[in-house]
Amino acid sequence: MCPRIVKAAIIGTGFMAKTHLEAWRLVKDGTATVIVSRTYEKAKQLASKYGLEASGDIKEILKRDDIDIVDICVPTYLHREYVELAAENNKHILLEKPIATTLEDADKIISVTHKFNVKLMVAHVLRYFSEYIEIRKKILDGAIGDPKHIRAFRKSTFPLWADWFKDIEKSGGVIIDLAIHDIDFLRWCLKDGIKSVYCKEAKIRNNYNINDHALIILKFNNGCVAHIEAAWSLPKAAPFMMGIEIYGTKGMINYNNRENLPITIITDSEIENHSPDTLTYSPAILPFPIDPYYREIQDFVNHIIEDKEPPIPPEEAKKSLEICLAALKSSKEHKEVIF
Amino acid sequence: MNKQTIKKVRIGIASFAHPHAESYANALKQLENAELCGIFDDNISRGKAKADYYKTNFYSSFNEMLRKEKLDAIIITSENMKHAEQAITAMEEGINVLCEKPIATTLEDADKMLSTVNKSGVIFQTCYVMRYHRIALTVKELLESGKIGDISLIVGTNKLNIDRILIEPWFTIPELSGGGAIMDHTVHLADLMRWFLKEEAKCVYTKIGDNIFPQLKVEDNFFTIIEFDKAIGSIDGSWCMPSGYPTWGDVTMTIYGNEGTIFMDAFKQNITLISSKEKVNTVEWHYYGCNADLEMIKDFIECIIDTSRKPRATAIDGRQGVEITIASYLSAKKCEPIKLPL
Repeated sequence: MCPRIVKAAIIGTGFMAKTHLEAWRLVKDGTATVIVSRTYEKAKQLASKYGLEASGDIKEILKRDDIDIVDICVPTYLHREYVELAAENNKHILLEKPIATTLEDADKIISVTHKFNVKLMVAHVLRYFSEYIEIRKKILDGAIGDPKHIRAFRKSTFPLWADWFKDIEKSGGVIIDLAIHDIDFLRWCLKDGIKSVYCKEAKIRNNYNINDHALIILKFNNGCVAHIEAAWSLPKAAPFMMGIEIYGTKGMINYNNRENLPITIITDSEIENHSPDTLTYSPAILPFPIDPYYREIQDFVNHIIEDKEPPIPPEEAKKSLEICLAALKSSKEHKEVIF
Repeated sequence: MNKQTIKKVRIGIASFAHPHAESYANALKQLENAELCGIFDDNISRGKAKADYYKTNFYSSFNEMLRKEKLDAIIITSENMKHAEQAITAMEEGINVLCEKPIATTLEDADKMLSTVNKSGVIFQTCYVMRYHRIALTVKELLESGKIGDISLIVGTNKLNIDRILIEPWFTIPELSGGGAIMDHTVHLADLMRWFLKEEAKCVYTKIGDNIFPQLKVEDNFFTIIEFDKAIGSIDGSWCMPSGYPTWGDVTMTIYGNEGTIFMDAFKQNITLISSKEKVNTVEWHYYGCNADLEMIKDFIECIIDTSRKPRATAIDGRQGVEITIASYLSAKKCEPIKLPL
């Protein structure tokens, strides 16, 4: 049985680690305890900001009995290595998405957690976004009948906050890192399996040898078609853009993050538009946290405390990766991939 | 030249089957250098009513209208399957043609039309009205000024409110329309892409979704990806919007270049009207943007008067749209990308 307050080691000091650390501050019955990085200095710097311990030695941390969870926020290509280490030391694992860049790694990740009987949740955070939860609820309630035609998009500037995104072997590229969000979400909503995948990629504006834009057409077994656009190709001034349109036999759902910005701040030099989730906040001014990363971590912590299987089965994350790999294959071989 | 000697271009309209006929007739009524001389319609009651309304002559025989009215030009807004025969007949009589899109439902018909244009020497203009839309024109200028550098991807939608289809049943009768949403709505975006990129499609892939509106006999939704030499284009021309959607549909394009991105939503110039009708609240968008139909008709008339001018969208442009459309159907059937030319 887990103690009432579960303690987590955060592995990594990058963008996702910082995002998770912000969210951990709000979690009930759980807390981030230590930040681990191969470079001790990086861990120390970040830990001092949050008043946490720092460590440069993962193996030592994993031996500690007071650590229940490891929250793995390292680059994707290192996922398997850290999951194996954590599982072997009987720690429950929250793993940043995507699960891995290859099916082989995904299989090893899943099997090692089974072997050591630890819980694993892959952090497909879109499943915790209020707007996407609402969309799914409406679909499942039958509000628009049977979904038949879907457009989903997710676009940003090139992720320059870390070097490894540029390397397709390390990040999986724009399909495995970005399009996987919408693929996973649609699989979660539609339940039906995917029958065919077609994909075209483009390299629009980066200086690295990597495609920064993908168009994916999916056909589901239930006859629904989906067009997924994933982009790291937006110009430098662009805000993050995401949206989805779902057309069903009884109606449609439309969501676009740029059309839902309830807070506008105008100063003499600029105009800023915000949703609550894009503003930093402190628990003191926001008594009811709505940040999806908070919700995700809280949900995982609750399941650990209650000794229940986490709500996103790792096999689901693997399935979403499989669709991404099929898209890459389609793009490379200029043909439709059929399941 | 003084006013009395200006000869009005004599124009007939072949059928009010396509709802655009209304807009074209209204445009003709506004132009001083054109005269609507007759309406042919094989739907006699519809044709008579329109002829009454526009104060012109009605004909139940296409050939009789051509002969009696000594037309300079005809606007063909009949069902898709009838375009080719009417256009060819008119051109063989030396009559200039403005033909609704798609110009034909088969590549054979489109090729026949093209060779008739070449033989007869008449003006044949394809109703690719977006080439006259102020927003699309502005975007073309921006692209040509190099604003966003080299284009490598265009994602477009030309979605339609299903109400527009349900009020014109022939759109869903394959024997009259030649197909569903793919036939109706591929060509506008395909043409804008050709026009912007100045190159031809090399490969087409299309996937059709099960119908959103199962009562229709033709496909109502699809996705198409077109490969050009230097760019990729994505087309969604689905009739997917529910009847409660606040407007008729959309024409959007996101154009990605190596130095920038342009987001075009050509008809996003609306006032919002909200009303309560028998307990059902409705939201409607009312458009205040340019009248591209009028600009297109104006240009067609001016091409007839000044023969040194060329229409902005020719028979070749019409034919290329048909080829992409036919390739889309072939791709959907074979579940594979189809190389062009066919």
